[in-house]
Amino acid sequence: MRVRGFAGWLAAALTLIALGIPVGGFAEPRGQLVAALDSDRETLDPHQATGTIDYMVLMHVFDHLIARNPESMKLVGGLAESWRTVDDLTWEFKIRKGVKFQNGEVVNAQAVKFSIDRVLDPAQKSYLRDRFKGITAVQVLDDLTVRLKTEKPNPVLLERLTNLAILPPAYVKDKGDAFIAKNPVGTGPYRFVEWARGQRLVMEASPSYWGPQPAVKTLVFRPIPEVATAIAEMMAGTVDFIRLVPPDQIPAIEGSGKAYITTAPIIRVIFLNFDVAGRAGAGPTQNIKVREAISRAIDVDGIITHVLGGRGLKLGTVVNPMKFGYDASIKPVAYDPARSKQLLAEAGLASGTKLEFMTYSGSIIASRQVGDAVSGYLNKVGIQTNHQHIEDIGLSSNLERTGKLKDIYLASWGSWSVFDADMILYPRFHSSEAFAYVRDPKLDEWLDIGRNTVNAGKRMEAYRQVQKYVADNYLVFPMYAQTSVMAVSNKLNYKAASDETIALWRATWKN
Amino acid sequence: MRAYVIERLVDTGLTCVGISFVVFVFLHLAGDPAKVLLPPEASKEAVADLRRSLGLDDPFFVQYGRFLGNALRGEFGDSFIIRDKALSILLERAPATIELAVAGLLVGVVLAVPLGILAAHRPRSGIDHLASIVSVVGQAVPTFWLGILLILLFAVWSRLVPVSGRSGLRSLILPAVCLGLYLAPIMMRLVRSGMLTVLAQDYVRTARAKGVSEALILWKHALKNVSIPLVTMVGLQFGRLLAGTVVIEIVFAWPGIGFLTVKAVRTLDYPVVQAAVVVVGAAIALVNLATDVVVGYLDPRIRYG
Repeated sequence: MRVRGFAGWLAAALTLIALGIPVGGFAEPRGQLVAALDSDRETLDPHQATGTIDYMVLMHVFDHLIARNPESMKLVGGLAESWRTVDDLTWEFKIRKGVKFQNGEVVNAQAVKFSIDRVLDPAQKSYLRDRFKGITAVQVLDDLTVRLKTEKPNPVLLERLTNLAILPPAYVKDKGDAFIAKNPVGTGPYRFVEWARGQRLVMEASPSYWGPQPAVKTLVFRPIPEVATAIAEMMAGTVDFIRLVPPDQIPAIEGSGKAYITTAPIIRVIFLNFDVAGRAGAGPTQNIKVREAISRAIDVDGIITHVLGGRGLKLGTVVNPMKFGYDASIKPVAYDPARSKQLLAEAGLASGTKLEFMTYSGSIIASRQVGDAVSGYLNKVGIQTNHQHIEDIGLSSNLERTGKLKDIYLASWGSWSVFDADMILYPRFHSSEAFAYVRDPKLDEWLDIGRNTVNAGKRMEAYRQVQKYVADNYLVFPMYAQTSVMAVSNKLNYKAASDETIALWRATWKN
Repeated sequence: MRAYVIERLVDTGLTCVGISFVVFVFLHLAGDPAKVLLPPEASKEAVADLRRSLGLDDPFFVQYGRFLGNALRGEFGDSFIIRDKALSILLERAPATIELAVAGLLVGVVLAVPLGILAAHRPRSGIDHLASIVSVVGQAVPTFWLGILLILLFAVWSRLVPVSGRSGLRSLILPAVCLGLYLAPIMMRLVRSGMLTVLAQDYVRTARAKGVSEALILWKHALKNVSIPLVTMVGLQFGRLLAGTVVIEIVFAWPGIGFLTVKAVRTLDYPVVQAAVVVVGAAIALVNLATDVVVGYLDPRIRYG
């Protein structure tokens, strides 16, 4: 890291503090860290990547206008040094001065405009386009100032900008999209070295990085789909980091003497989705009494303790407490099987009635076991379930958004690391949305206010109304917020973060 | 023979067209890739835009015709997910798959042939019982469990070989042994039963009466006869292995075709699935053809055409 004079050192120290990194880590990067991921990357073009893990990995090579403090989860400047709202429809960003891409190109307002325009270009078929299409224009005011005009007031724009990587325009234009997809160049803490598809992705600490140098010199991401194999690699000392550790494997890691477990509450919430609108056909869950009965029949504390080893936070609303818009006044539904039976009798649901119940693997830890527990609790109050488990997240998501999930579904929502209630309430409860199994104009009205107003007070009020209405009508059964469980080699210091990301530039060596 | 080979090659081409059509129909029945590709909150317009740009809103037969025309030129289009040529993605994985298939079969044959011969040579003896037990256990033990066990024994505890991945010859040992142990029992049973039949025949009795050594009888005269069904089976197994060994690839993080294809099916990545099915289908048909040619060489009584 090159800093000149006292002002330079002060600026560097402030940057470190803002990013939550302990000051004093100025040693040269050294050593190699091998991280096991459950899948291979699809592309190294951050505007084309479709998976959350792709985004997490590419964060090591690319920066975004906005970043997130890993401790407080507050938004901080990434490549944007500062920002302000000019009016309800205009955002202005000041770009950090002196930052260069790894190929020597300068980061400026043109690069930001190029990157946003690239995502918005329909020909690019970018997965991100839908999230940013409210942006109507990107204006370059001067070399380091850029303005974004939006169609409607967009209170979650800053949150979403944490997902939009800034690319070097000349490099992209010169080399073309296909080349970029295999040879990424960004401004992040690591620069790309090698990608052997299906085998390894190698990165090295970037000497031109504008922030503090990471402690680890070489990062190797290895796709190891089977977690037992990843753990064996860790026991053999050939893997230093595992992103997803199932609860039943935690004792094996902790007892190995080779690695430790780090956990963090994350914003992903797990809940039972009811087909309230009858999208998959008429069924008992269209009756509020049945929905309440189901909600009272399940002991979420029991599931957290016995299935998840105590790792989970019981919730009364699907809005995670770490998000803007969370209403703390909404308490979880009390476990009361006697009342549940009474409600089922009142609803006229005969004992032994069979309901469809689907669970899936992919983002819910121990989803099959959680599903079995839910079925067991429902059986106790006289509801039989036709429990079907789908191993594939793509297929379940497809069924979910096409309205094919009848009765009950064990759902989860990660919100793409966006800490705002809009990112869950709108897609799950607005009538226009593919994932919504509720059709209610009252909810639509509040959700539109929340999405298209920048006034935080008005937004909070709208989300409070939505959450109360959802709870009063048992539209879903919020269960718990998930905890991320990662395994880290004893050679390293690393702490899991609540935005569900992995940020290995924050890892440091113990010796 | 030449006419037979040409006829079989034509059959292979027609088979590939047939396979491609069946796969095309099933993939289209499976769902809409645009919905899998876009983020959860994607609007209906975004899904429609993507469908249009991927050419998915054309009528079914227009899409199939376009695919077939391109496939004849060796062009399977770009993967929807990986954004690279489907064929090059597949061919990138082919060496790993072929390497594992060859090594696994080699381990299987090396284990199965001697054990099968010894078991047949002394039926109901200790070695025969041992071979039976090994074959039953080998078939009964799930490959997944065996793989993890081998990893723990030879990679974690004794550090003789790497745990997983493809990084040179040493990394091939465990997956090949695991695959070989899975393939060996069925081949061993085949060798044993074939040898039992052959060893009871008159020419063997004559050879023994003439004082030909037992080793020569077993390894030259009898084995050559048994090798005909064995070569057929090895050919069939090799063809099957070219489609990938998903479980072994997953356990050993082996970058082969199997896992790639399964993932492509799950994400409805039409171009990759189609390329995989057509290329692997053609490879299997060619391996079968080669097997027939080898069998014809081994057994001069078999005549083609």
